[in-house]
Amino acid sequence: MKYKSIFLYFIFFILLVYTGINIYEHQHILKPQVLQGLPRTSISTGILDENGDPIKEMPSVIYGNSYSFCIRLNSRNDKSLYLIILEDYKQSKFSTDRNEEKKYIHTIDLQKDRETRIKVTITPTKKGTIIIEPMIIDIYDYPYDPATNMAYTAGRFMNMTALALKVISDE
Amino acid sequence: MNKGTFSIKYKDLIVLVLCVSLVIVNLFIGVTSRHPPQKFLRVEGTVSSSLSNDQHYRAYWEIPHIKKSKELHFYYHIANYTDTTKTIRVSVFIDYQQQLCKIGGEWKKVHLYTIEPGEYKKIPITLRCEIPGEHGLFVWSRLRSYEESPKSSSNLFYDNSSIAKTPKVKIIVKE
Repeated sequence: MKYKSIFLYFIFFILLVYTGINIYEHQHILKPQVLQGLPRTSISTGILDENGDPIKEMPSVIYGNSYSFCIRLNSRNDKSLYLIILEDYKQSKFSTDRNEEKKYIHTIDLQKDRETRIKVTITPTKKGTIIIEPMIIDIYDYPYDPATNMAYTAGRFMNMTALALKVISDE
Repeated sequence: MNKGTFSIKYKDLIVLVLCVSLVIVNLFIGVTSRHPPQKFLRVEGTVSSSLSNDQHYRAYWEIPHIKKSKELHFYYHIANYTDTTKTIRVSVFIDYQQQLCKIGGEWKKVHLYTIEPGEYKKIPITLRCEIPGEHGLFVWSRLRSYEESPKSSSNLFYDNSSIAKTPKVKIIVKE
């Protein structure tokens, strides 16, 4: 019985040391590299029309004209994000109600626990039914691993529901 | 005597419970702090991808120092560990901006590929970068084909598509 107890205490001691090392590594080594700074950004579902109302049927726009819609974002902390728009898989230039310059990438600042609505304006570059896909990119700067010269992730991408848009001829 | 024996057993039980708790704590730490896969790993049910300068390597990137307007050549490795055929659209992004790139002799922003279950592809990519300085490059593949769903008014919205991204790698462009 005594030997059993000593063995048990020994196992306990080993486990205690191992746990201590694990916790230390978790706090000092792994966390800054991978876990620290991970965003807790949640995005509400769907895209709204330019007035902020739900879109119930496929919107249409005359080729050459602009189309605007609204993106609703919520964040659990203050956060800066990139917004890009894909038009049938191709990144397209767009403007927002905060920045009227047409650019491929816009920076969006979100405030803690406050809903942010961004009005996005695009000018479709092709006719027919196209897919508009807004995508949010967390711009936390993931460190490069010196062993492989790679950063684990290219950013945290959060894509929203894609919207079908009919681009019609002027005729 | 009986009381003493009981007392030892009780202590042992406590130590045993503590040991089990420590094992659980360690398992929890192991799960939450596990390094994400830095390398091109075989993960069942996923489409895995990575980049290399050399076709023989899958997960090592020697930072290229290229001159402005000169071509950069590298390899994109992609493997389909799912049990379905995937239609992928390959795009190269530099600083989160989609680039024209040459795959199979054609300069396009989006290249279409089909990848069979269990298939591994090694795709040579060429691109140019005009802006001097340090840039982050990654290759991004869309796994869903919108064409698979009819574009009708009943399909106003499309679900989130899954994407396979490579790690981001560094390139240095000189004047």
